Amino acid sequence: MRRVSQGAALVCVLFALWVIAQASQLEYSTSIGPGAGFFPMWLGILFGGLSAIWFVQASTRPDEPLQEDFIPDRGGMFRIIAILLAIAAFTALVDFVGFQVTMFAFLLFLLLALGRQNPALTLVLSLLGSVGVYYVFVKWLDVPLPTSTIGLLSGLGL
Amino acid sequence: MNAFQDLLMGFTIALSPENLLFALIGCIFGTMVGVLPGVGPSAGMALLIPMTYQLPATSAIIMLAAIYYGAMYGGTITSVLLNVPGEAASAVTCLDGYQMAKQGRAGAALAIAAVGSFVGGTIAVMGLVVAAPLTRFALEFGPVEFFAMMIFALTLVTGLAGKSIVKGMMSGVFGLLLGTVGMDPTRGMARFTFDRMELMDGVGFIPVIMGLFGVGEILVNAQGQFRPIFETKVSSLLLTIRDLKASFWPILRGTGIGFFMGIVPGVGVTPAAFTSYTVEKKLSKTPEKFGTGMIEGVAGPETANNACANAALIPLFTLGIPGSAVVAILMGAFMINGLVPGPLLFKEHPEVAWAVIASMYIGNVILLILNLPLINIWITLLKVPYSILFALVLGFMVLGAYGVDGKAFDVGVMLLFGVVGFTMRKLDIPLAPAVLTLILGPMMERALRRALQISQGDFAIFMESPISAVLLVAAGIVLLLPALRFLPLGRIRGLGGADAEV
Repeated sequence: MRRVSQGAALVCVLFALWVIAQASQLEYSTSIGPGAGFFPMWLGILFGGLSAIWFVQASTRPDEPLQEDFIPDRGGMFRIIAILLAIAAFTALVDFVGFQVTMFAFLLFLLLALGRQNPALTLVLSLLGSVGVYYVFVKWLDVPLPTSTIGLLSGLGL
Repeated sequence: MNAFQDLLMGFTIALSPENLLFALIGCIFGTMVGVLPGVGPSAGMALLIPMTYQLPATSAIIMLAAIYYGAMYGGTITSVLLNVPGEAASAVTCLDGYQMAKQGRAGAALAIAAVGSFVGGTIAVMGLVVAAPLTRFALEFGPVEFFAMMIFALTLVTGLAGKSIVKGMMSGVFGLLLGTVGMDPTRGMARFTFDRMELMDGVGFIPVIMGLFGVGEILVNAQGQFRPIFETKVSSLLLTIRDLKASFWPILRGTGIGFFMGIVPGVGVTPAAFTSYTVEKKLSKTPEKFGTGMIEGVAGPETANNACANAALIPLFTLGIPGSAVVAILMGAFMINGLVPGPLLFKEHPEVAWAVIASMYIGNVILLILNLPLINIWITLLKVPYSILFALVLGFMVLGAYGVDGKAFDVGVMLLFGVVGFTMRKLDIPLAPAVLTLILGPMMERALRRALQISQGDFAIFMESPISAVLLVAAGIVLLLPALRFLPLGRIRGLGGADAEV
């Protein structure tokens, strides 16, 4: 755990240095009081100081063993990365492909590939969660959701 | 008008059919959120905030407040039936509640939890009515006092959240830094926007909390196999005279413990529940039987956690200070609806403030009437495998993040903070301080800069005000308290080690 904590603390120190560098490009003070860079500058210094204290604590305290599940096993790593990629794909595609198709694919992937559910149930849930939700939000709750910019799909009302 | 007349006005608004319906919906959703493992009250409220965009402000806040205290009761159901706490505050209920269920007394455990929660919650709301007139003192606060008060509240939260004060403070400072993203409040300059128009108004609060609490939680759960959930049979819900007699004093004591711990920002409901359990065990004539199915071990903690949850709204309503992550999210909901909780809320929007307070009375009654007959429905919900649930919850979160402003960028923000939340959990860095400071940060900065403008840059202004000086000294004491343990002054027990996250 010591190495992990030291590494994390160093990353935080670097982050603090970056914040201080960015804040230094803003005006620190003006004729009527603190400027835009005042608050972030001092927050960066405080964050850097706390990170340094964390590094020292991690280095001087007795080392503790890592928790058993600290590093996920292969299956766990696959599920975590798959979830993150699915959300990233949704982000990239939703405005282009439209909400209904993107959400349908999103749920289909999660339920089939990760949840290992039977195809019939997956299809029903994915349709309800995409097309069903679209109609509830757009027609009933008046919350706009994107439709597809692809001619064929938009022609189908998707 | 005095507080009683204001409360009557609030009831006339809260008892409208529309607002009753929203309170009912909130209680149902809140209980469902509390029941579902892997979806805590924080993520649950964040998920449902987008559904309130089209509602009038009063109705939206009534529904979200109902979700908040409804979730406290929902967590009890899984603790008793599955030995799995629906949220952290219900963990202590597992000790005796699950044992009661194994003895065929799940119904009695759930019933006494409902009764105790009702008593604790109702008395805490009465406390809110009594405290409300005190807001006129808070109106005397200027930027100096306001800044000092927020520093004090934040040191309480960061000092009490988690095992490490350093990590708690890092989390708090991180949230303050996030709050600086966007246009500078005074000079209008862009800060940390990377030339992105989407960041000009700052990082979206909803996507951030959905990521930290919702996606982060699911990623933690995804490490293991998605295991099926098993059920326990529920017996009769009727309580015996013996049960009621045994629970009477624990419920009263739990109310007191929960109430006084709830009004202190940063303590959280989990310590209140554990404190109540410890007190009941110490006062019991048969302490060795705790952990084997003692009804006192359910009645006291469940009363304390609901009393604490309701009392935690007192600092929010009277001073505008959220005492926990969940209350900070509720505060965010206020602000999204154009309302600023605090003393000005009673002055400028008394109909909203008193309607919400009145709806909390009503909500506690709804929870008592609703949840006992609906227990079998909640049990059915628990039969939904997590391997399906996680996908539906993720879908809902993605929808919620997108629905904030209709921008895919916000879904990306949620994704980023999902990774951040997962990493923070791995490194044992508490999430609650970051959420609190994200809400309070911009207000703190405005107060600080305004104060320094008044004093022309002289920091001594913070010690010249008696209120500010006292608050800042108190903040220093809270931060130094754990270090005092090592001085040769006898053993001074610190307040650290409590998990303030809900």
